[in-house]
Amino acid sequence: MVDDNTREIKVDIEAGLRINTTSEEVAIHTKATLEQSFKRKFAYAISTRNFIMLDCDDKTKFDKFLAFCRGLALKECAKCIIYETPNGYHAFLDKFMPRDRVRRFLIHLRDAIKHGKIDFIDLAHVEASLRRGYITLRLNQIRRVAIINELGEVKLLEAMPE
Amino acid sequence: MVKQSPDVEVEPEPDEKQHLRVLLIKELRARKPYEEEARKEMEKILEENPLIQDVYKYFEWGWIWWTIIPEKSK
Repeated sequence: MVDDNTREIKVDIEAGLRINTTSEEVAIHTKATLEQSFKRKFAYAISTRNFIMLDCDDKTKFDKFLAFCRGLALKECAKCIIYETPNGYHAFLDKFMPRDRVRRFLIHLRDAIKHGKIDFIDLAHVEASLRRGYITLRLNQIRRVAIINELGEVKLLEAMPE
Repeated sequence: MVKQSPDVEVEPEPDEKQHLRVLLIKELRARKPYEEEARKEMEKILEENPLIQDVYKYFEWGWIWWTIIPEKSK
């Protein structure tokens, strides 16, 4: 049953084929090998269990996302950087945290999204992070758009969407 | 009667050797540009990607690592 096999491989790739490595060399080799084996493109991403990384999937909600990140920066007394992506925004809170703390944050975030208190963070991304035990962000076509310092002061780097 | 060992190595004939060599070179040539492409992409990310620039110091302690995932279908 060639069709079934093909379908199964496709499902596997879409659902969760992912390789983790701390080595750049292994990452390069793995990407090339996977692309050659599966005849499709793969992308580099980064993952962590010890930092908060957020994914906003709505370009029209930058103000809300910025306000949320500012609150986070103030609460954690840490720098937070926001990046624009082709489909929305990413944020990185520059503060090392134990895994449990990151996990508890994700659980609260998931509940807040489910109860409608937050509508600008990608629920699927938060749920996938909880399921896997780590947060992953894609790296394609991103640029820094805002830096929030430990005091909550915001520095916008480019013209923001209206 | 000489008993033949089942795991005896068979030395290829000279022309067969040449054929295998050509095949191997062809495969290596086909593979190299592919890895070069991935290497160039990684170099570009390391040089230009602001997120990587901001987090790169954390790779050293294993707090952040690389993940290879399928590109999103268009």
